[in-house]
Amino acid sequence: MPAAEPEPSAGPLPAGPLPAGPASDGIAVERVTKTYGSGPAASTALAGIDLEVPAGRWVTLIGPSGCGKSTLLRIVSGLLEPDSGSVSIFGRSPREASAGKQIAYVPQSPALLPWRTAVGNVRLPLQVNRRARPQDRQTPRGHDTARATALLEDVGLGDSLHKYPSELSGGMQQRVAIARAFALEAPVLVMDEPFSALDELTREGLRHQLLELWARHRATVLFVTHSVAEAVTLSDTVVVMSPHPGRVAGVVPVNLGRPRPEGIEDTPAFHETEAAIRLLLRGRQ
Amino acid sequence: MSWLRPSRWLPALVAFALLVLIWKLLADHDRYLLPQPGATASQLWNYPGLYLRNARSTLVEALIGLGIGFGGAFLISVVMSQISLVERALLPLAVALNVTPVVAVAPALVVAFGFGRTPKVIVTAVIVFFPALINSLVGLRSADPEVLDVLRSLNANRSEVLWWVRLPSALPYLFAAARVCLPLSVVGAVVAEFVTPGSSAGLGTLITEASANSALDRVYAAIICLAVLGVVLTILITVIERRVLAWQPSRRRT
Ligand SMILES: Nc1ncnc2c1ncn2[C@@H]1O[C@H](COP(=O)(O)OP(=O)(O)OP(=O)(O)O)[C@@H](O)[C@H]1O
Ligand SMILES: [Mg+2]
Repeated sequence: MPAAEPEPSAGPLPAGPLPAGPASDGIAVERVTKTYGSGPAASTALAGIDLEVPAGRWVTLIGPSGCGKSTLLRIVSGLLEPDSGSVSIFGRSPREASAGKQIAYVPQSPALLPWRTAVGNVRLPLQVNRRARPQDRQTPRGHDTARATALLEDVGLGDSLHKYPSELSGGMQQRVAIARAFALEAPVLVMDEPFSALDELTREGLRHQLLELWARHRATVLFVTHSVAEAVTLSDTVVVMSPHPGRVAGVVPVNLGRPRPEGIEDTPAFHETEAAIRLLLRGRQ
Repeated sequence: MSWLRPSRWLPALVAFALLVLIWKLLADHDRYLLPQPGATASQLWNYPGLYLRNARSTLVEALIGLGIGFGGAFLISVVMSQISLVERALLPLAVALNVTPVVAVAPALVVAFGFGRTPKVIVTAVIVFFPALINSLVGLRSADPEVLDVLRSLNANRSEVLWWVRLPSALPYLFAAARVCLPLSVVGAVVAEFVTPGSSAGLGTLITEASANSALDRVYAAIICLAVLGVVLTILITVIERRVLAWQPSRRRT
């Protein structure tokens, strides 16, 4: 069971009436297919994916390169249309959800604006598309800066508020990107291998920072990683995918409780879950 | 303040002295090849008003032409980057314009617009147009696709993407274009003055007249003025670039 109660300020429900029932709760992906190209050059990236992320939970996708993880994330974020099937984000389509600024998307690279300082980058999602959310329209702009500053302090960048990305290390840049995602206070957080460019030590530190932030903001998370340990440390559920074409090979629940302390990687329960995931990953290769 | 150290300016000074020495030797060897450096210097010393007045008029033509050509190219590139139909319509025309030697059109422009400033400004604007257009187009397209994804996931509209991402991404390219276009604009103005012999002002005009009178010292005094003009403009753009692009890693280290 996830421990903390959802905070009222980050309530997962978007404004407006929602269809009742469990179908509108969290992220639901049903029979989604996607093929790139056409004719003999066509390659099927996703062949009927079913997936559920209950509200307030953390689900991680793991699988070999090319199994369609990024494709699925782009579809869920409304950046790509599926060929068939449906995606529901709290009862809305991904496009509607992104129009309402309900999705925070974190790409593989930090994707910061090099001409903006750390604070400027974290403020960006609040400055863009201000008409979408009433809370953005009403808050004075100075408030954006205050929130950005607080988030950067949370991820340990209080000394680098006014530095440009080129003055920050890769790990620091990625922390700015994470602060930027949380600044939005979106009910849904979609992250595509945000730590893949970092060394193992940096990654381990960032995992726990990310968990702490998440414990406070309680978004519904769809996460991608290549690291089994990372998947287990972070998630409530791990979805293992297999390639050619992209399918769900199996679902592994992570019964570790929360909050998760730094030493959790060394417990037997952790290793058991890791082993279950490895088995699924191996089985389909 | 590293310019105060002799190791910074001494090599350049030595090279300059050598250049003047070779100039002097060549002038001694054949007085129709080059004027005496001393005679050229005294031209500048004795008639500063003449050179300043003509330099000013060339500079004004160059800068107006640059402003129109560069500004026009920038605006058109923004429209092209937003509406691909416009790009498909105008880019071939721009390429054709680029391979046409504008200098060849200059005499016709004089027939059309007389001996005033207009034909010179037009030649200058046309010469700088293409490099400005291409650089600006490439710059507007240089935005990081993952940054564009982040903006798209927030449902940012086109003008927000343009303002927050594409225009700032284009800035380094615009400065690169300015470095090319500034000297080019002076070339444009001078060449246009060459083909308008009746006009009264400009370093190009001064050069044509002095050459006709075999007054090589005046020709070279005017050329030195043009060189100084180019150097000053380039330094200016470099200073502005350093301030505006302070966030660029390569700029800060130098
Ligand atoms: N824009 C595209 N055009 C054509 N094919 C694509 C495109 N994007 C992805 N693909 C193909 O779709 C398949 C899935 O790609 P995707 O990027 O979703 O995989 P992934 O699981 O994210 O891989 P990785 O772990 O390496 O990031 C791959 O075979 C890839 O070649
Ligand atoms: Mg990927």
